[in-house]
Amino acid sequence: MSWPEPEPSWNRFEARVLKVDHPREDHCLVVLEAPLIARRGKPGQFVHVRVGGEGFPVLRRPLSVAAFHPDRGEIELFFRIVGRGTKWLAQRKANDLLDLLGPLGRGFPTGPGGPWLLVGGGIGSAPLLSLAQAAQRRRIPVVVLLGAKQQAELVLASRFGELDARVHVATDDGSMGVKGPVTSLLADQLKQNEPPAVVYACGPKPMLKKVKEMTRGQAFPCYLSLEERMACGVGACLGCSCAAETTGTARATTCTEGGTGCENLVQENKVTDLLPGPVGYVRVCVDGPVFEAGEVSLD
Amino acid sequence: MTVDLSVEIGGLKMKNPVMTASGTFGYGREYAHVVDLNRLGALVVKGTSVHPWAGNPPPRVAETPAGMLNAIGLENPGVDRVVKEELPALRAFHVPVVVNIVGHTVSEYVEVARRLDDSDGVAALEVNISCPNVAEGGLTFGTDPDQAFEVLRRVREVTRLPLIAKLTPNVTSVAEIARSVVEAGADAVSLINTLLGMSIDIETRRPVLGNTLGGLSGPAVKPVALRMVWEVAGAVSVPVIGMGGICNARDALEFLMAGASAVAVGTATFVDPTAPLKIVDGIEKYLKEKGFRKVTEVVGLARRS
Ligand SMILES: Cc1cc2nc3c(=O)[nH]c(=O)nc-3n(C[C@H](O)[C@H](O)[C@H](O)COP(=O)(O)OP(=O)(O)OC[C@H]3O[C@@H](n4cnc5c(N)ncnc54)[C@H](O)[C@@H]3O)c2cc1C
Ligand SMILES: Cc1cc2nc3c(=O)[nH]c(=O)nc-3n(C[C@H](O)[C@H](O)[C@H](O)COP(=O)(O)O)c2cc1C
Ligand code: FES
Repeated sequence: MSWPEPEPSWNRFEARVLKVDHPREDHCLVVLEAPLIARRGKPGQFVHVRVGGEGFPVLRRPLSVAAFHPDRGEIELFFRIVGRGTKWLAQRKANDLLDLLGPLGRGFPTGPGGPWLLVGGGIGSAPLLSLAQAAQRRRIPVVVLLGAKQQAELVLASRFGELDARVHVATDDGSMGVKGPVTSLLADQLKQNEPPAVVYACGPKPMLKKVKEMTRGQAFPCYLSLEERMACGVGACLGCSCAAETTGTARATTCTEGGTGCENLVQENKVTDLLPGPVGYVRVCVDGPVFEAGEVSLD
Repeated sequence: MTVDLSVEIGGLKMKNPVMTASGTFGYGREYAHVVDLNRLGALVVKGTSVHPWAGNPPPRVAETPAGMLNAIGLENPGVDRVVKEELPALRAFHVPVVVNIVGHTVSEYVEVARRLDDSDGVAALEVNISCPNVAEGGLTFGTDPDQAFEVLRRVREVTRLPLIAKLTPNVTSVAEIARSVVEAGADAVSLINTLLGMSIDIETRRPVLGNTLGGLSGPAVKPVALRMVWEVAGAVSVPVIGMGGICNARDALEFLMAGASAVAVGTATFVDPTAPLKIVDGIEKYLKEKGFRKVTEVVGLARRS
């Protein structure tokens, strides 16, 4: 399993809106013309989108790239309308320009072995779609587990269905697929004879926590894509911190080779005692948003 | 006709009056490929302490009307690693680097200052006195004229670098604190640091920030910041660096006219990383259009009676 090459060359782009679609009242799909991001971006990376025109609201909004189309030079964003920023974005029209920084963050690490097991809760299925597309291109078998409150929220299920993926669905109210949490589907999968080569998950924190517990100590790695409130999105403000697992094997993120007092940390690949507080922190925007499950504490 | 944008702040020479605000621009490296660092008046790096500081639990930032709250908690890797890992890379650029220093005790401030005074590539120190004084029950150094005086006096003893005292707005009389730090030997003052604030999530019924309280910055604080710069510029004779909500050249010119000799841009760079450079261009354009030859000619212009 290798992490995607770091992407030092994020940039600022004016991306043309090609299409805005509302598969559901509170969900929105935006197709953008962004050739460089479409070509260079990796599954799991995100863009930091300026909202609200001049001045207000103040901060950009981080959104995962749900699909890359390098051939057409297009990317897709898929989001739930939850507040001012996403509402404004959902009101864009074709030919509007969006100001974005990207591609940002460390995407999903991948390897040649399959099958990949993808676990998406709610809107967390967005970054997994690009991963499923990558698997398809590389002819790696994929199993996708999708969970949501109700059928209507499983807007991306059909997109996964178009791919060569086996899709299993769970809903809280049983309106589609199995009734229950998506982690019950994961439990079933882990009982199967053929274990996955890797598990990738994105969704609400309680779900990620459960996935982390269920995959702990397994022979295959598990990678989680996290969300945190962000200001800069590029590693400069330390606003998006997530506690590093003090007993785990997180990378010593602020350490580079040979730094005073952290050589052994780099060697042991631990953040234990990196910082004097009870915990060390990692930045979701540049150290993540994808982390190996053992790297981060979700408590 | 060219206009002279250069300014000098207590011995710190800058090619223009626009700096980055501490904590909002990392160590410059994060932006070096999209922002020409050589065009900045100065680059101010994050608060730096003797030992590494872990910072506060998340969430650390929250958006508020026309602004944001932050409670980073001055997370930083400590002065040794800043000197060894961050400053050398910045020497490749032609931009003065100002290091913002923090401490929990007076002797911690002194120790960081001493180590930075020995290091190459530091053009000035900005003493962030908005830190809690652990020895005095956590009261912020910068809210008490005597403690603020003590920090600056002791730091002054160990360095000949230009010393900028960064003032907190969370006081009754910012002019009084300013007079006190100047008396202690500060070559300049910068203000404002963030205004203490908070926000509550009515769904979870808990404070939004992991630290409960945070510092407000961005356009929302600009009128308050401008008023404080006005008061301080009238109270001390050393140069003043103004900041707080500056988003464009018009905002920056307001601070200069209130009496600031330079300005710093913080929160606005989160929206537009090139904001500081656009502000340099905008100031130059204004000066040309209005027939000024030097930026120093507009400093304090609004004060004339
Ligand atoms: C790396 C990353 C990728 C993401 N990808 C997607 C995606 O593909 N689809 C999707 O629907 N959502 C995604 N999110 C969540 C998305 O950023 C928020 O829903 C969005 O910022 C809300 O903005 P708003 O103005 O509508 O809401 P408001 O609540 O008005 O926003 C107020 C502030 O809080 C921040 N904020 C609110 N909720 C979140 C959150 N869950 N995560 C981070 N910041 C938040 C906003 O950015 C803004 O600064 C992602 C978050 C991160 C960190
Ligand atoms: C995320 C963040 C981190 C900050 N970190 C520091 C710091 O380390 N030291 C400091 O003196 N001020 C710090 N500040 C305060 C800014 O330097 C500045 O004084 C304040 O934000 C007002 O300017 P602005 O409205 O342009 O952001 C920080 C501000 C923000 C938003
Ligand atoms: S959002 Fe600024 S460091 Fe991550």
